[in-house]
Amino acid sequence: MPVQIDGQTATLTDSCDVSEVLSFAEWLLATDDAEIDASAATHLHTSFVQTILFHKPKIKAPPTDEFLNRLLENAQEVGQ
Amino acid sequence: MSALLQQFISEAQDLIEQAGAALLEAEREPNDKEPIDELFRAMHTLKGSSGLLDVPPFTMLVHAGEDLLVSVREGRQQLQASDLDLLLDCCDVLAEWISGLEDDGELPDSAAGVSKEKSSALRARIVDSGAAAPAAAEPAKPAGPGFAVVGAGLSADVIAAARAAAGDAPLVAIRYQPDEQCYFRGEDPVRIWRDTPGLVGWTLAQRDAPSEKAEFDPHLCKLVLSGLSTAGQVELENAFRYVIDDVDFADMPADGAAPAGASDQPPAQPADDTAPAAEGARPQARPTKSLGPNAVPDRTELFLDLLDGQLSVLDACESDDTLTPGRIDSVEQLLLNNAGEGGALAAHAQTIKQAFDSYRSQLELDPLRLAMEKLVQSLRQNGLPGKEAAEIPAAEKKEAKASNGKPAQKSRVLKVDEAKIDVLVNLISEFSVAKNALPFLARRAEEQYGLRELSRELKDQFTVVDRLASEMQSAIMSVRLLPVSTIFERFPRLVRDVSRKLGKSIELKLLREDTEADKSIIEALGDPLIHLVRNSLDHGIEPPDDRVDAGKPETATLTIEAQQESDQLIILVKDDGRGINPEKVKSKAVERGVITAEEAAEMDDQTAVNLVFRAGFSTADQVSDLSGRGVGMDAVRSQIQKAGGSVVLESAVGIGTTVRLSLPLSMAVTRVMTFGVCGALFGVPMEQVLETVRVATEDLVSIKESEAFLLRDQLVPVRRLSRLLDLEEEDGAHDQSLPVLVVRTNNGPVGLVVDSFRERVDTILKPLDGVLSGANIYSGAALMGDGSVLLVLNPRSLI
Repeated sequence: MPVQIDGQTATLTDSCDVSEVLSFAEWLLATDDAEIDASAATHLHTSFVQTILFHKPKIKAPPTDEFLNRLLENAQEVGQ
Repeated sequence: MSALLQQFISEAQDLIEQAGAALLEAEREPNDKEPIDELFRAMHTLKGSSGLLDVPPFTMLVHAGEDLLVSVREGRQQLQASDLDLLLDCCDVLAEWISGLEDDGELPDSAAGVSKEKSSALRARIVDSGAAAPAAAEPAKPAGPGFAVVGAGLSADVIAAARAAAGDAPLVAIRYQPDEQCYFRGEDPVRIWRDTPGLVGWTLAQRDAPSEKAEFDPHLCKLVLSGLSTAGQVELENAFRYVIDDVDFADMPADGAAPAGASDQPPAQPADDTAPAAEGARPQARPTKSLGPNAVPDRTELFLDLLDGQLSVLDACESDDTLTPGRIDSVEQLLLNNAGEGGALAAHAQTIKQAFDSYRSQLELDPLRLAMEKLVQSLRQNGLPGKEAAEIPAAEKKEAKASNGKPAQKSRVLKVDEAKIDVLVNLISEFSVAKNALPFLARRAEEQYGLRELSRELKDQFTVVDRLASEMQSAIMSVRLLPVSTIFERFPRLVRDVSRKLGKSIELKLLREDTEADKSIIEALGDPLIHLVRNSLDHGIEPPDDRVDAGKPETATLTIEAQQESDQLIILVKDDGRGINPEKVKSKAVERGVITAEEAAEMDDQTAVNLVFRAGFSTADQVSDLSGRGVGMDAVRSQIQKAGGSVVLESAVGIGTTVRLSLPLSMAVTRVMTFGVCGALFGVPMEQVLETVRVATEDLVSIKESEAFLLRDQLVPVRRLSRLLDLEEEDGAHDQSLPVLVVRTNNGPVGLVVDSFRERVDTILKPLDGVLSGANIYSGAALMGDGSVLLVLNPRSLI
């Protein structure tokens, strides 16, 4: 499972597909102080990027992939 | 079947129906744009949602349809009659595929071939934009928006960094604003962006972000990606070739100046969630599709509705509720959002602010409510200020759009499996029965145990439970209500096709389509109505020449009207055709042995025309020689009767024919008249009971083997129910007078001798199953309050 949710932390691994974004977004909506571990993500579907951009969770571990990292950094900046 | 496929099927059925209706409308009103727009929306949505599934032939066909419509919408061509035929044809094919999908989970094998053929037929009709619109129409594209617009999303920092990274290479600004629905087409803008050649600096922003977190829809793409690339425009166009409509390119001026947009307005980085920079930079790029120019009054209405919604929030507030401050804040926020410069409420900003401020100082809700009501009232009377359509801020715009389009429907209409409703119906009926045990219990408490007080309390409780149960029952029944339009909507197409084939000109009027009735009744109506309409079209309505000769307008009128009369649903099928000649019907009936010559001589015209419903009257061969009616009229009657209804025909030669169907609004609850026979309890559905009489034994007359009595000068045959049911008669049950239940049958009233009349009950009839299911002398069985089973007779089969 590319998206694994454990309490307040969601771990995104490999390629996160649009089919999983709804549960992810619902979790973000329902969880205060949500944290994201994206260190093992190789690709995030646009919908994930947008959802993170909107809900602005804390990025506990940024993606190692440079492009994704830049994307989320960018998302954080824009979101604030 | 996957949930996705299931949803697609039910959505597609609706959309195909809508498309069909829009096509017919387009045919009637060739100059009206609305049906074309609707048609386009339906095709577009179908294309989008079918793209999610593995049904390429389907997607290909709707795509072709959509392309043709795009060309029509853009004014390059008009829809010709033959185009409409082809599109209708395609709708039929799509509908067929959908039912195939529903049954087998896949498209028929022939689909690919059919799709190819129909798509190329559709595409052949598209007026080629290149040929039809000469170069003059094109220049917009090469010029495109300038760098000031395309580069508006880029901050000075990004531009500077990109400059540094690119060295001397010329830079091209890219703005990629993916379509909201793009995920549904399998697009992943981030992946495309990742592969953009020569990208040296970029940024992303969201547009139209909702103010409430709960409103955020992760399936709608609301991002804008802006960047600078060292690659040439040609290379970039190639990289974005699949989404080229969503992308703009512009060469960055060599002097390296920041884009105009970035210098004379706040930096491109949006200051808040609503991202005005991205939206403002592209004023003309993406007009809101679902809102036509004449949508403005609707939007005013929508906006007022929105305000009404805020009023009801205020009304719901209680001063001591902890949620109240939050609610008040959000109402204020919404109003103030619209009260900014140019907002719909700009003129009232002061009033709003004052009202909320005074609430905060005094914590009195009433003055605040009053002030807001006044505000809404004055808006209602005076309307919104001039350009409100353009001024409603993004958040409300979304709201307005949602109410016009699909998403709002989704949230308001719940599609529920019929079986689930049936479970509810069963439960409530059992509950109604179970609650009837309480009075018995109360009686026992009093009589057996002498607990009067408890008995009284039980009875009190019973009245409450009884009321709740009946409210619950009507609420559940109302869920099953459908408007008759669900069956009416197939008629425009039917009438169009048949009248074309017959060369007749017919105007169809559908009246009061919103009349509602139980789903089972609506479904039972479908086939009989088609029969009746076809009969009218085939035989009732004359060819145009005959009509002109008869001094009638060339175009015939066929009216299908629904109405509700007390607890009955009435459907009238009316034509102004040649009518039915009662003499011809009589002679035909005599010939067929349906009636005797003597009966025919005495028969009045009204009764005579209704002979067409008699079994044995109609056979296929008389379709042409009789003035029309014939085929399947007895089938119509039996279907309607099966659903508990009746059918009557009225006709005047040369003027027209009216068929009147009347059906119960709901089949679920049946009123039953109960009576005792030989110690057992039976019932008959109330609608079949004409009256109850007591007949003195000496008034019974014997005619040969059977008995009869005179009821208001009419001879009514009498049957002993005990004998019909083969029950053992009790001795001396009837000494002086007989209780007789007069029931309606196909051959007129018949009296049934019973032992005693009992009360009338509302029951939920359950069809008999098992070995008894074949016993059609019973309509069904029902549970009585004391737990006993009541058998309900069907007098029509009994006699």
